[in-house]
Amino acid sequence: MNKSHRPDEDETIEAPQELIDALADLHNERIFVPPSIDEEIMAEARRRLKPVEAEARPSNILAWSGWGVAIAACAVLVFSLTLREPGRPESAEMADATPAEPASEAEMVDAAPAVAKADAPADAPAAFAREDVNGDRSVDILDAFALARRLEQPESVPAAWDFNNDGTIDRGDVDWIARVSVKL
Amino acid sequence: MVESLQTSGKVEHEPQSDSRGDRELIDAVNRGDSAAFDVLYLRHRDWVVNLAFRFTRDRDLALDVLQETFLYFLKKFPGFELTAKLTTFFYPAVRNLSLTALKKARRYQSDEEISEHVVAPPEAAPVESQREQLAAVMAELSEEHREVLLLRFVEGMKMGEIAQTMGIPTGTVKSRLHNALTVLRKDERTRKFFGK
Repeated sequence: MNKSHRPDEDETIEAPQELIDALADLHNERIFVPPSIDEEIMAEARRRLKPVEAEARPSNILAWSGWGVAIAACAVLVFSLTLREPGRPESAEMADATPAEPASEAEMVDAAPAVAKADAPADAPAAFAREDVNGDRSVDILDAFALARRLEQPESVPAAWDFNNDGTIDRGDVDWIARVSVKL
Repeated sequence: MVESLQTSGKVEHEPQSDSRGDRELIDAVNRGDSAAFDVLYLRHRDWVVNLAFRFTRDRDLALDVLQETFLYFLKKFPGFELTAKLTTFFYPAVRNLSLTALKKARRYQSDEEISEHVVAPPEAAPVESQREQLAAVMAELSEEHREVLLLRFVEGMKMGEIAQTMGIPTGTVKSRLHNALTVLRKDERTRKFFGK
């Protein structure tokens, strides 16, 4: 190259200005975007983003309160099953269960995450983070495994799981979660 | 062949008056502000559709890719975090969607229709202008070399940005750029740009 016309950057490979101008001229074609397409895309944005502002919040709260009730009910059920000792009549269990109440809170705390994890639908929005693929409220190598398994049925993988933002959901996203979880 | 092109359409609410940067707008969209999304759309629409056209060489496909790209972008909200320039985010999406659209379109085309889109070999095409000669040489470059050249000298990206955008090492960017320029320098149709 006999001329250099990009002194503004610390870039080593340069091109003649005449070529740069010609390339720019070659690619200065402009596609006419019909206003109907603009409107369509913006209407879709309004449709999708509006619920986040106004409508989705109450329904999300309701949805989460519903989940909370369900989880609490499951935890109580698990707790009551753990109190049941084999070979004892049900009336005796009930009698024994009453004084055991102080321990029940701790057991409920332990039981709740297990129930939540088992019941969490695979496509449910991540409660903890977008990368929490398996819904266990932590981002770890298990999420990478979970995503790898879900990739066996790519049609059921949500678009939001394109963690590395390369336009496809593939092995690269699994590697991305693995990297992030190691860093965490 | 390719339809004649026109200047991009202007809609009533042009984003020029909005001084917020992409990052601020994305924060607003994450809070559910659809007007901020409109500004982002109008700001990047032409870049996206022209890039799509560069890949597809078909106006209708480019418009399809434009819509799909912004729907894909929209699905990232809430929770989207901008870690680089927004064009760096858009580029791989536009490229993949364009190539997919092209494959689908070709699946339904007859051989005759496809042949209309194939670039004629340089010796078959009557050479009319310097511009056409450059276009012919560019068409003969591999897609990887052509893209690096255009991202560097038409889009004005830095080496590191190109590397990030294309998902390749900076060394590979430099190597492709060097090779592409060597081809242009050696080809008799484009040698004149280098002063000889």
